[in-house]
Amino acid sequence: MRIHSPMQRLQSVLFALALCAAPALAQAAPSVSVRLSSGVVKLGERVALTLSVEGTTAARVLSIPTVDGLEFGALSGPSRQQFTEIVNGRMTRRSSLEWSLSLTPKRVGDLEVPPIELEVEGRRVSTRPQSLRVVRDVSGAELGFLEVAATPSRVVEGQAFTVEVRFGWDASGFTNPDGGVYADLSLPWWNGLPGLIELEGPSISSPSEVNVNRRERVRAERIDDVVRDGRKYVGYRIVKRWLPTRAGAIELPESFLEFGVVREGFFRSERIKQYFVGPVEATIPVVPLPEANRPFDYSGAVGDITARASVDSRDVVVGDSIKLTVDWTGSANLEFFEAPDLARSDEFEGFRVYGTREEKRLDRRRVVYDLAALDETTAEIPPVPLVIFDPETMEYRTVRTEPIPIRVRELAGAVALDDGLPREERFGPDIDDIDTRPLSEARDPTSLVGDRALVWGFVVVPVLVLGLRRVVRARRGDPGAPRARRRRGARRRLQRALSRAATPDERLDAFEEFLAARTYRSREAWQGARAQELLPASAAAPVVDATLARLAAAAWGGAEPVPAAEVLAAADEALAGGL
Amino acid sequence: MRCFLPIVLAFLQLFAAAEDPVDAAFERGVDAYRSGAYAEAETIWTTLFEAEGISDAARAQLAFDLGNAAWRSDRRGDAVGWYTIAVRLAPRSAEAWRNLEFARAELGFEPYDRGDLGATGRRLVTSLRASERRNLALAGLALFAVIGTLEALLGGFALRRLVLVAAALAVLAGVPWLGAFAVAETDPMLVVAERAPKLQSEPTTERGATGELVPGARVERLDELSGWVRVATDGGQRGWVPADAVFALER
Repeated sequence: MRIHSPMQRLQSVLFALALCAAPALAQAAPSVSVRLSSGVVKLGERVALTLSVEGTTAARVLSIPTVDGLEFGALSGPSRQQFTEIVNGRMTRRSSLEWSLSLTPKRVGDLEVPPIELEVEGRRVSTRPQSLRVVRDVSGAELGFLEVAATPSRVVEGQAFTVEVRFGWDASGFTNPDGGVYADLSLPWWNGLPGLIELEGPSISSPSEVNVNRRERVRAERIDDVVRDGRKYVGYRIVKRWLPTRAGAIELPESFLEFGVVREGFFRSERIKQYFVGPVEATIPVVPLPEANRPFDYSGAVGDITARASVDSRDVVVGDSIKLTVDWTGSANLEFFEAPDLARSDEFEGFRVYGTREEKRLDRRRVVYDLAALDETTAEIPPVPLVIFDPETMEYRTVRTEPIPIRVRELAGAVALDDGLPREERFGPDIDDIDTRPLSEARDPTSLVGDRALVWGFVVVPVLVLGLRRVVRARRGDPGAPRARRRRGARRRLQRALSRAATPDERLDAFEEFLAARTYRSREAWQGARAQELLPASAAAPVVDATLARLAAAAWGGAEPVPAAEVLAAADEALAGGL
Repeated sequence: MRCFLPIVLAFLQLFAAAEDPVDAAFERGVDAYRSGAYAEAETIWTTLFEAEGISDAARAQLAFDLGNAAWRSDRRGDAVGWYTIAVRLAPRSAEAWRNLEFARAELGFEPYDRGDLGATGRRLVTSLRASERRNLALAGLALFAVIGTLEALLGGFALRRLVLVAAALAVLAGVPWLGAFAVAETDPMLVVAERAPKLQSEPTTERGATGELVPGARVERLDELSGWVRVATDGGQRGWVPADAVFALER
């Protein structure tokens, strides 16, 4: 019996598993397929196109073709699927990718969906073309109706217009106790077209809603029953308002109505009857605003406008605020024109305009002007003009409000002036009066020096100061040094010491200290010394020696003390002698 | 000899009491102004203004009054020019400043003192009269000389510090005097035309204009011909303008 180690045993098991798995992991070559949910559809009915790739997960759709009369929706996916099976020890793995695409036919006839290109594992692969037959829904055309109309049918650049979609169905043809009627509208233009600004539409308060383009729920207004070709229809309408910003033709491309019966189940509803109406198209011509005879103060208003003005107070005093409210109503671009600026209007020169407040609504433009009359002679608020373009007559014209009579009273408590000047001229700034003081009193301050001398002063004085400083230091050293300061203060310190000295020897010490400071020596150098020896050439030597002798005799020999005044006098004499 | 002294004193007193001829002429101008004869007042005051021996203070007063006469004669540009002269001669005259700024505002000119840092600095430097500037500089210099001499003779730390302080004060005191030289203009003129006058390349309107002057701005006079003045702007533009479009500030 052979004994296997645990490591050898594990290697054997892994080898066996690899042998089993290897054939299964090798997949077949990828395959591409495409299919339509139906080969025959009604005009306007959607059909689903499914694109599948099996045997790989590395694939992508390169491009979606375009076909005249066929609208391609957005590509959704891919959804991935992977299966792993083990049958009789054989492991099988299957992978697939799937995309879906909705197609909406826009015309009747035999259409062909061309090959769709994909990249599968790095290779370009095309699907096979698909045929689609589109037939008119005769029943739908009889049982339902769809109309798209613009009001007015021709508009001027800048003129607001509405597009109304009316639709409905023959009520007698739909009797379903289990459910109700549904309606979907396909309106490719609903969310805007180039050259149009969407405006706020009329508000519709209705419980009914309709699906537009399968994305949006729009409230639909119930209208009176509509009779077409002797058949009576239940009618609804939805409305959109736009303003064209450029001239040209606005094309509203193919619109469809899908309606039918829906059965409401417990969990989901099911459409059991489907009808299609369409396509319906519409074109709205937009003519440009004429340049000829366009007034300079044209406001940009287009349409039929009526103006009305009112004030909050008609009996005011000068300067009182008057709120002038002007309402412009009518079928026009009321939100977009520029309201008149009364501050620039000649007709309102008797008023001061403090500000305006505007309010824009679908059916009304309101501007409240805050005015104040400047003069009590003002008798009315003039008409407020607005230059508009009338698309009916294709001419520019001015719409005016009615003038409003007012009474303006003089400001109470104001002091009347006798000069008869208008109010704004009674007070005002003016120049200061002439100066009439005698000219002899107007004297210039004496100039002590001329410019030239001052220039020389600014040059010479610093030089002199620096020179003096240099000379002083060269001859005597630094006058700020401690020795020099001690010498300068010697006389002052002597006087102070003499005033404090109580005994003759203290006076002697004070005088010796004075001599030491003046001669840059120590006091010890002067103890017992003679000036004739220390200051041989000085004229001060005799008086110094005499004073020292008298002070020493008083201190050590018991002689009569020398008065402080005499010591100071001797010191002064010595200083005068050049000490 | 002693008996003549009272007679001489009495004569001197009599002489002193007699009215100054300049004051008398000035008074005639005032009377003319008060009676509405502004042109006559202007003639009298202009003669006084240009006379020899008139102090700067008196010339400032005359310029102010001449400005008023021009204003009342509805020559508002000339009024601005005279007020500018008054302000230059008497930089701290509140009335002159008030009339100048009022007149400039009425004409739509930019304020003479714009109130920004540069204008404030300029006004500070030029707020003293010439003699005051010189005296101030002299005082600073004298202070420096005294303290410098003391330091040279006595030395010491405190005096050395004081010398530095005195030097700084002397420089500060000299700033208005030196600053007046820095801002001095060679031959300044004021653009008094209410509408921007065109700068002509030659003293004629038959050639093309090369630019225009800003009303209320100062320019420098370069040359003069009959009815035309050649000026240079701060920006370096040169050209001829009609003589009545500018007003000489040095008179």
